[in-house]
Amino acid sequence: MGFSTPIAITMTNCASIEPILSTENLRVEYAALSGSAGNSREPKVALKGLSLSVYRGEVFGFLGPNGAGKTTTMNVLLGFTSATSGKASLFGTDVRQPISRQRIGYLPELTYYYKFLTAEELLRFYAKIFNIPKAQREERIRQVLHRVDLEHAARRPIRTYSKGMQQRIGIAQALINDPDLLILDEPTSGLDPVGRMEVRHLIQRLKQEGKTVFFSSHELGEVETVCDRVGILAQGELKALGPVQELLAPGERSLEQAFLRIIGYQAQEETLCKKSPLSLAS
Amino acid sequence: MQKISAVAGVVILEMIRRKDVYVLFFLTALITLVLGSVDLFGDAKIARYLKEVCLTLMWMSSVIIAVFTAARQIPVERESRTLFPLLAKPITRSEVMLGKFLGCWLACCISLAAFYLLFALISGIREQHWPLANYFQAFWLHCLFSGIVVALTLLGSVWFTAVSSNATIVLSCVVGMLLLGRHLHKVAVKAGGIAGHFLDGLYFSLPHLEWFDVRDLIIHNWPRMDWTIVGQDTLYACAYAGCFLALACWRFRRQPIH
Amino acid sequence: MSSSAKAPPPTSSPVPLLGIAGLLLTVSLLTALRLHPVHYEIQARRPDADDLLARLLGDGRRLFANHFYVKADAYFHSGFYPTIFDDRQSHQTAHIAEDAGLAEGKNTGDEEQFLGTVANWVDGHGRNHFPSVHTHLDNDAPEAAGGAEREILPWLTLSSKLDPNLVENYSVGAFWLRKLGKYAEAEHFVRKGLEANPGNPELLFELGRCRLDLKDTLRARNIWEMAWEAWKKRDGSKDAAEQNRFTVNQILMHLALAEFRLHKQEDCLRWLEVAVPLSVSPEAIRKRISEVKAGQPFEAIDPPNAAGEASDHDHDHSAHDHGHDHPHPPAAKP
Ligand SMILES: Nc1ncnc2c1ncn2[C@@H]1O[C@H](COP(=O)(O)OP(=O)(O)O)[C@@H](O)[C@H]1O
Ligand SMILES: [Mg+2]
Repeated sequence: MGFSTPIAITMTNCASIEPILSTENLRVEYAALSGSAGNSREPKVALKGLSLSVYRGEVFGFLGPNGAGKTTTMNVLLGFTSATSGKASLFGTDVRQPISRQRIGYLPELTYYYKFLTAEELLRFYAKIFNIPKAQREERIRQVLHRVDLEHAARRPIRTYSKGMQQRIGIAQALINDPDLLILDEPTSGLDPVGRMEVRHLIQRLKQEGKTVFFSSHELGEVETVCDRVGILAQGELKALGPVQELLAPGERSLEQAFLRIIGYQAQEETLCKKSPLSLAS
Repeated sequence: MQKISAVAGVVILEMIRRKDVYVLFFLTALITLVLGSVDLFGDAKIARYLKEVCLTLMWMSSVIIAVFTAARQIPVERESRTLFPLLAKPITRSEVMLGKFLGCWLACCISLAAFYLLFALISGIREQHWPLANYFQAFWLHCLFSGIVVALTLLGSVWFTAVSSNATIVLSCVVGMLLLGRHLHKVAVKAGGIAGHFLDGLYFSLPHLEWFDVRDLIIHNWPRMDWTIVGQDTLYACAYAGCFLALACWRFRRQPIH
Repeated sequence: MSSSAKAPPPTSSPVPLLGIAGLLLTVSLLTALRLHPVHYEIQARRPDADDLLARLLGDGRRLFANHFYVKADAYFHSGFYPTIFDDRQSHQTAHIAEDAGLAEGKNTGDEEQFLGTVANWVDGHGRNHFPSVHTHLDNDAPEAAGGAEREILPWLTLSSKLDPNLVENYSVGAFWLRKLGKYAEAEHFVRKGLEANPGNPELLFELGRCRLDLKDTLRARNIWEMAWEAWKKRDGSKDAAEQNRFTVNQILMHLALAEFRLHKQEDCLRWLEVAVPLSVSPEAIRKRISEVKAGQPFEAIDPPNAAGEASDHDHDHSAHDHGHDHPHPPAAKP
């Protein structure tokens, strides 16, 4: 499998640009859970030396089956978890420094925001944390609420929001500081088809505005349509990296086929195929 | 500072929008008023029992408010995962912790102010006498007490995972210190030996929360305390709250969030 | 991420409620510890209930009743009161009862010394935060002489409701009510006590004092005679050591006083003669007899043990460790 260089991607002029997001040989071990049976002594290795770079202006799809280590990567990037070894930086600043998070927006997986606040209050709270001057604050809140189509519910407690609205308020808070880099953890999980399409459009619009988007997903269809590049992670290891087209092996028509092959599901499929006379015929 | 006050603001908003504090306040008011309406030998000037009941309920309420407000903060943020979007912003964990402390402490002070107004009203009507400086001293010492308790509870909340175990441990420590703190030294002298040294160690190292409880002085209309003593108490409370907070920040900073 | 991520957002848990219940329990238990019952002898005098359940319930109520009786005494001291950790040699009887002439003073040592000398800076600084000076509401309290004694009444009422057989509540309450000029309320309160404890000599004695204050000396004398009969029935049969001689001396001395006021000197002397063998300090009574014979006025009534105990006290407060019918002059603090 070919690891393509960044130069080969959409932009031709970014060879000299420092990556916006990068990890070098990132390794994360979780202390063994005391309750788990069997190999309870050994720490659980979630990431095994991940090296990755994301450049300005690209939409990067971070793919992998459940438990591959996608969230763990993001947790390291955001300083929630410290890496056992290796380096991670945002905008060239080590992730251990809070200032590295000044220009990013982050959408966590499955979050319930402060239920007793209204959307407006929640966004005002986050805006204060970004030290957005008072003069700009209200205007910015209005803009992001408009962007995620929550203006009508701006003064309702978040407690009363539907699942889709919860996800949209999450996106709104990720956009409150007009970030250059967006880190979205499974932004479409749990959404209905309309919601998923809306998120897809949003990502495309963000790209048009020149923002960098780093998002994880296992919904391969949407990844194919919006991503400039994808990285495929399995069992804590990066199995493939490059534009979607480059990842497809000859004869493969969809990312799904490539994905299954890359993560090693292929072998089983082949054994199934061998047994099946139908597949021999095809 | 803006970051800290933003975090604190959310804590205060939460207290205002939750019903717990109102329940405690109205219970205190109700019980006091009902007891105040009891006829005692036709003497309407009897006031101290009422002051004692009111202050005791206030103290219980304040301990409950302080412990349960502070104990919830970090664990609930973890559980509802709001800690993730928050810490993904340019804010340090120490700032989050300090904001939580400030918010909980101010929330306690606000509710205490309401409680003391109620108390001043009731006792003033009964006694026709408003020693406001004395009440202010009691209120301020009570606020300082809440500060130590909040800091201790926050420290507990980054140490123990379950809210209930943290709250139970802190509650028993606080109540134990309030009731026994003054006597630990005497017990230590009686016990002697290693146990005596241990108790004396506790006596000299634990914060003497009972100092901040000047209920008896207020109930029995003792003269106002010397302000220098209040000043010393303030420094003492700041020192302990500061230690607990520093430990809490240190622990919280090193903790993985997942 | 982890399974907790899928859990619904935390809703309000039963923890606060449990916490509140636990706190209430701890507080009540530990306050009971703080104001430890001093008056053990009170418990011993109570008749035994036959039913076990009633007894268990009764004992709980009595514990609380006793607690509130002690609380009344703590109020009499404006909150200055020994705990189980303090030196309680100097506080074995409730001063509310002692000052009311209803109980014998058994205190040894100085009340100022509950806390001992300042042990260290924590102790020293701590003493600024609670009442650490011995005072009595009726003379040297921060707010004495304003009728502040009324403040002990709620606790006596509560205690009497919890345990109607704790007669001290009624007699002490009536005494302080009389001092506040509430004679009718005082008499009513004692009569309530007598309903629950018919023929109790202590209560009859206090009832007589109510009548005496209302200048009804004749009725007072008759009631005290009843009290004397009741005492003979109850204590007269016991060994000298078990008898409550303090009560009987108070009764007899007041009988003598009443007769004196009724200008019956013969009867007055007769009662004093009866008192001599029952008194702890017969000398004082003999002296009194000779005084009456010499035609001197019969006014102040000292409890019989006053002479014997006065030497133990060289302190200002020694004066009110003993029964007095009259308010003390405000004592200067040392
Ligand atoms: N807090 C944790 N403690 C122990 N193991 C964890 C923890 N969080 C995640 N893991 C493990 O690390 C691996 C990667 O998890 P994660 O990054 O959440 O995967 P995903 O790609 O689905 O986001 C999984 O095997 C998971 O079980
Ligand atoms: Mg994940």
